[in-house]
Amino acid sequence: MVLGAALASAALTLSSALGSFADAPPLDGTLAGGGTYIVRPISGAPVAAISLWYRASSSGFGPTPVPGLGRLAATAVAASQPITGTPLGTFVSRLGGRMSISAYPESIAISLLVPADRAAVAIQALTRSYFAPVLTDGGLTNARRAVAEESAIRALSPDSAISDDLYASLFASGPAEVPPFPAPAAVGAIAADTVRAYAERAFRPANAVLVLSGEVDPTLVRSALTGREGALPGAESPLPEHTVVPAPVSTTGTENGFGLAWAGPPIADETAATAFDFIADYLFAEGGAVQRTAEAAGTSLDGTFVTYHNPGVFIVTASGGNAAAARAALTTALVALRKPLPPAAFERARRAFVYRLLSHSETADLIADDYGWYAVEGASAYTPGEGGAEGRYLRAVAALTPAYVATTVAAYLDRPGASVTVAAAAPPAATAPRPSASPSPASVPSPAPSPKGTPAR
Amino acid sequence: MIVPVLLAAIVALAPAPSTPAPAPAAGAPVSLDLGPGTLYATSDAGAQLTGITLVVSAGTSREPARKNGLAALAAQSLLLSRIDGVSLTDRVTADGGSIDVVVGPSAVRFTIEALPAQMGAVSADIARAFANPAIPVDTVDAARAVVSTEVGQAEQNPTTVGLDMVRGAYYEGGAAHPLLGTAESIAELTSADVSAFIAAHYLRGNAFASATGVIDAGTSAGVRAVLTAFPAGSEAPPAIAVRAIGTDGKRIVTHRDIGVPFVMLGFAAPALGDADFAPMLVLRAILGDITNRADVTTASPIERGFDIVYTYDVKPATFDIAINGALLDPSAGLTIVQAIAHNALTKPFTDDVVKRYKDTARGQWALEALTLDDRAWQVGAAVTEGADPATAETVIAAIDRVTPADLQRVAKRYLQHSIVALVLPRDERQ
Repeated sequence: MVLGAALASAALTLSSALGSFADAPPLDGTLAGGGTYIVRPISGAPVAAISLWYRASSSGFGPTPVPGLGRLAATAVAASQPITGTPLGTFVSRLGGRMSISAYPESIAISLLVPADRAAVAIQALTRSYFAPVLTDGGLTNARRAVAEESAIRALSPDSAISDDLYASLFASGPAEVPPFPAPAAVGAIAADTVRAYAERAFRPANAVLVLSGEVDPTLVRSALTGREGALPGAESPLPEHTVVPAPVSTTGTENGFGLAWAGPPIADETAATAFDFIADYLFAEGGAVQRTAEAAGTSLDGTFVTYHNPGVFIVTASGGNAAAARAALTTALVALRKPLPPAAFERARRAFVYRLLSHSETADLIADDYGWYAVEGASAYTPGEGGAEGRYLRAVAALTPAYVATTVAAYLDRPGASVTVAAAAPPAATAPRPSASPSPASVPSPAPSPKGTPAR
Repeated sequence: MIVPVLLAAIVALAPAPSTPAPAPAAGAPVSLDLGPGTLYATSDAGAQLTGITLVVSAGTSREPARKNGLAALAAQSLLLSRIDGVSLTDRVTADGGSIDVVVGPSAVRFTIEALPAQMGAVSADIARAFANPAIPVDTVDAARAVVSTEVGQAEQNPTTVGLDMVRGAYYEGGAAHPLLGTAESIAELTSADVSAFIAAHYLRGNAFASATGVIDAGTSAGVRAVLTAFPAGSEAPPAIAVRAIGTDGKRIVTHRDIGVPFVMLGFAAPALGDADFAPMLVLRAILGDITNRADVTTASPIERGFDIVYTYDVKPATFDIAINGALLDPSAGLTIVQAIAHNALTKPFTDDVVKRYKDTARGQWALEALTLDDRAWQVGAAVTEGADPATAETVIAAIDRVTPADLQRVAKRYLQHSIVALVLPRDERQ
């Protein structure tokens, strides 16, 4: 069908009205078994994103942290055969869907992306698995293998090691001090009883945030199962994090690198947290001055502000190439940010920031992920995009001024931060095993997006 | 203040015509004749950005012999064109958007995304860049540096190396070229080559656009401005010829700085608009399930022993299976794939099996294109192949109609013979 120009506008209007799942109202409420739900319909691809978030330290609830415990427990539940039905991962795969598990210092997320017409059965399966978790020996065995593989792949990334060192340096205790992944060899040493106890406590309906986005109807929430009898009521409280004045860390690795991290504003200080999101975008987005210097130096540079409960963390990692040149460029840029940006440059940067913010939350899975993150951190109304231009996040962006940003940078980054310097221990191993990266030919849509990497998180 | 303007209402404001437009299916693109070209628009309620894919028939199949990399270098040179002293990419970023390019055998596609209120500024910048095909030497050199870096990265990735090998063995002419060229070929291209390529192929009749997300009057005005910037003219679509994949079992071998062997099996395959496309998607679901059965969660490509890459935006298409030697013994992987293919050829699938994998294939297709860019690209791929722009919307229904006989017929037609490309660790003694 080819329409003439005269009909174009009408056709566009009509097209806008079709398939408008976004016309369904957003809905928040309380699940039958406790916990909360958030429904944010959007139209687009015919998919439903279903995210189940829990506030739970990845390293466990006991006095002795167990790195990777949360990830292992969540994976073991997904791999276990429930009393009825098939293991969740297999079930989702048969739907043609995708499933991922993310573990952060203070939260765990299980995310499904399924065709929209299978959303109800997927919600049932997800809540059946995690509201009354069953953990079998076979499931735990498969989970140990999967987590060990993930950990081994992560260990190939120099930036991951730098990040772990930064957190360990900046925090004296609390969930953020402990890496969210176990050492591959340590996975087998985590006792089954420890995993079961963690799953029982963390994966309770009352501790859950269920987020639905995509082509979803608010009535789908009814598909969530109630949960189990005897589960503890109420949600977990944030565990305290204790920062220290960190000492610089020097270490060796496969290539040169560095890392810097500072304790930033808590999520409750929304204006300052937004300022740090803006700063991270300004400094580290592709095409920015610091990023270009790093690219020219052959250095992989990544920086972000992570909006944790208290404190947030402003973190930079860099590896490869002439990392010293990248570090010098970053240092210069951070000094310059103590002075207000010129108004025109500030407006350009803000415009680019808002675009990237919205671009990083344009699909159902990313939207569900964003809401889950901010909800478990206790600030769902501050989720970027919530309420559109009149929402709290975008109003905070609009309220930023060059002077405020400069003041905020000085207030937090003048404090002592963590610093890691990595010296290459040996020439790059040309024959070292190198896993394949994702191809990106024209015809291959991107794989499931990583839950990390959202600029405003 | 910017932000309140950025998220303005998206409904088009033009008065209703006396004759209502025919109602398109939900999610289906509407074809709009803008004068200088066609825009295929799919509007999403609730979207906050506009995504546009500008498709230009200037892919590698247009490259002359010995000029491999010209399509990529020309496209990158346009991205780096300077407007009032600033590159197009930087201008678009400052406007509140992004622009990038993907090179394919049939076409290049420029992926443009922007805040709706900024689409006017973004499209004006793009139009200015495309209106001037004479690219200065320094711009071409900057583009060459970018493309060379990407070529170097692609050379380190055994998947892209393997795909290039399959493409080189299967297609003829420019379509057989590596998509980005090689370090050597890029180095030899001149600014005159680039300007001549742009002048020859960046023609109004060679271009169209598809858009998703926020679609309003500004979208069509912006696309019209960009298409108007192209000089008048058109060419016949490039004819993409292929070589028969033989039965000789010949293997292509190359060496790279990798630690483990990597195998790419390349099969001929139906393209997006082909009647066999839906059965091939069901076969993809079967192969994907059997080869990755042990996964607890959905593994990323880096974590898979097998990865399937279905390059269906080229006609004829290829269906490629990558076996990652870091995670799976390549010989065992080859045996598994050959056993599955043999089974599909010799023994009809039962109704139960077909039903199960049709379910999986339906779901995989629903998840195939999620972003504005990917969805706009799907429409563009269909149009490039000469198929209905709404083809992607009809695939799920086509999957529902697949029968066991269809699967066996398609397996016989496409899975009997394959190109075997081996990417092996470089022997340090060489």
